[in-house]
Amino acid sequence: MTRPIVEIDDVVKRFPVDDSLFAKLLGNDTYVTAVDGVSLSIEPGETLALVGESGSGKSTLANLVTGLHAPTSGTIRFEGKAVGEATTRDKETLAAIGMVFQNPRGSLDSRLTIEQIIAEPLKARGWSASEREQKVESLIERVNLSQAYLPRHPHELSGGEAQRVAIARAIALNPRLIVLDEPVSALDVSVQAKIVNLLMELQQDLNLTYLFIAHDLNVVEHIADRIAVMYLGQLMELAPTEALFTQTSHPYTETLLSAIPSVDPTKQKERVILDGDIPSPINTPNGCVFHTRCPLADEQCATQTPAAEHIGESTSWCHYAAEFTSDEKQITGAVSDD
Amino acid sequence: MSETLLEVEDLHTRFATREGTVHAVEGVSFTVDKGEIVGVVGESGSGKSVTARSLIRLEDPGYIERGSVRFDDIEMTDADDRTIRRVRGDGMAMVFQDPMETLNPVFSIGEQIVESIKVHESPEEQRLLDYLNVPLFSSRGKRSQMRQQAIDLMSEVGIPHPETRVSAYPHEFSGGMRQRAMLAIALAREPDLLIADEPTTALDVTIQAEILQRIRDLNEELGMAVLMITHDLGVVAELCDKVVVMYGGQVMEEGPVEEVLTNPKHPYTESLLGCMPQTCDRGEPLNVIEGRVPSMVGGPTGCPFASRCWCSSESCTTGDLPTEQVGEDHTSRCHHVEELSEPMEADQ
Repeated sequence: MTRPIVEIDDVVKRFPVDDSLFAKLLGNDTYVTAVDGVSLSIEPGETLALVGESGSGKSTLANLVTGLHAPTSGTIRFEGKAVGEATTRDKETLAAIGMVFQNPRGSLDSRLTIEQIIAEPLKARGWSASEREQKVESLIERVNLSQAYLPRHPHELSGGEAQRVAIARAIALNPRLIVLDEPVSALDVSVQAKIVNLLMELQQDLNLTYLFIAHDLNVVEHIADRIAVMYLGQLMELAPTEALFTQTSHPYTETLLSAIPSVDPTKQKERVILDGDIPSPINTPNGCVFHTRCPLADEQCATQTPAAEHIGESTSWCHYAAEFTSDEKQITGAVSDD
Repeated sequence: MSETLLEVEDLHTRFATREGTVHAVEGVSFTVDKGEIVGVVGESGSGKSVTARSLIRLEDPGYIERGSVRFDDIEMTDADDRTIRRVRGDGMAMVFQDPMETLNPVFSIGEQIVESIKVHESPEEQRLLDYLNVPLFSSRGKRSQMRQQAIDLMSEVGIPHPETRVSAYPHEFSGGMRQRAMLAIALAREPDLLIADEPTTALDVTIQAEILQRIRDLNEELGMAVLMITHDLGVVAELCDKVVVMYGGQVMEEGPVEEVLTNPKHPYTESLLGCMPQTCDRGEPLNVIEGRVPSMVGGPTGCPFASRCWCSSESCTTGDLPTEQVGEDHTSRCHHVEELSEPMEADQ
């Protein structure tokens, strides 16, 4: 078997809530635990999707992979080499990982032209002006925009066009891994479809590996090979896409799936609505982090952290994964109406 | 049931810009009955939000060129400020897309709900003294009663621990909570019609499901009509009775949700449904609509969708759109309805 392109091993990331000197002197430093002991690996050529609600630590995990944050503990290996923060990485590793952010306009410098934006990573790698010009022209064609866009500024582009420019910039240095942080969430369905098609095409042609973050499970179902479901910084379930959508092995995944509105009005399903919001990541619940909102939870869930259980091709972090998968325990119908 | 609450007829809203007049809304007509949930869908730039804003006369800096908006026998387009204020006070309430920008950051949630209650009780009379809470001029009893009302409203929209949250500020709330607070502010006025402009677009699916459920409950319990503006056909399928599909400032198709979504009679609705990832097999390229939304500067000539449509012909590029009756309460504005009526073709 080939070596995974990214190996994340028991990574923890904490952010201090108040990082003033005063708080440190008083010793009342509290932390937000954004990522809490996540281990997973990404195989070359696959699309691994990270899904979960806001505040579940998806973006922090992505930033740890790209090196925008350094992990508090644990290691991240890229192609077998341990990597730290972006500032400590060598140029080779930096070029091998591309990134596309959620808000396309916010991630493009409004004072540069499109040409300068796409050429910037090339410049950083020391390409000559003529090489850059050639490459930028081929890149802009690659993302299906005409060369007429090159002298324009980001404010002259629509959301979909700006996202294409961001993708062109991300693939400029022939990366092997692209981290996509909600690349289509801010777009209309028709534009979203075009960008998803472009991403799938690029993956085939350029042999890319994607770490795809999204909260839209419809898009994820379409594009991903495997899905990792996160909640409060921890993994809830890791499964191949088909397995996850046909037979979930974790109650949290089930609630996420049931929340997707269906376009077919004749096929309205019973939905599971969770009580309240996601708990504060400053004081995460003991035991299973999901037990405060889980309709199946009992005493065991409140005290013991569940270990990984392998069910078929899926891995689930739930005490009742086996019972849940075999439908001995069900949550549909056990919905409180508050 | 079929008592008409809101009747929009041939509404034209325009914006004068340096590049020319933008025809944001071009002859939109539809009705909302009492207790009905109507969805308005379309891509960004199709004029949905401008339509909604025109209804409660928030179209500024645009202007209503012609057309009529009748709400409960009040003609909104030529009503004076007092009447408009009264309608906003207890007739139509609006919930906007971004709750962070529409809540006032310097007042607590409770105060903002109380303000809404005051506007509802006496829409004509708003005195500065009422807001200053000076002991001599405002009664303590009334204040605590309104506060209690605010707490009740907050628990009605599903905000946990309303007694403590009532004095919290917007920045202390999460996105879903803020949207619920907005809903409470709108409900304080006991509106007959709730206009919701993409209320769940910025939220997670789980929170979205909860808010939609809440809106449906309120619709059932209070008989409140809802006009739901969204670009998500899933939300429409989930919640609405009737749907109005807009494009280029015009209504493309209108009809009962089940009819329109399962048997669309307009190429635009069909293409929009085709873009949803659910309609395609995994790993296959998604269907797309080529081209982009027209700019709408200058008047339209013919069908705004003609340039992106797979079945457009000569007749589509000029003249007005016909309104074809394609079923009971189901109309489509397309020259080629007959061709479409045949079972779904291999157009995709």
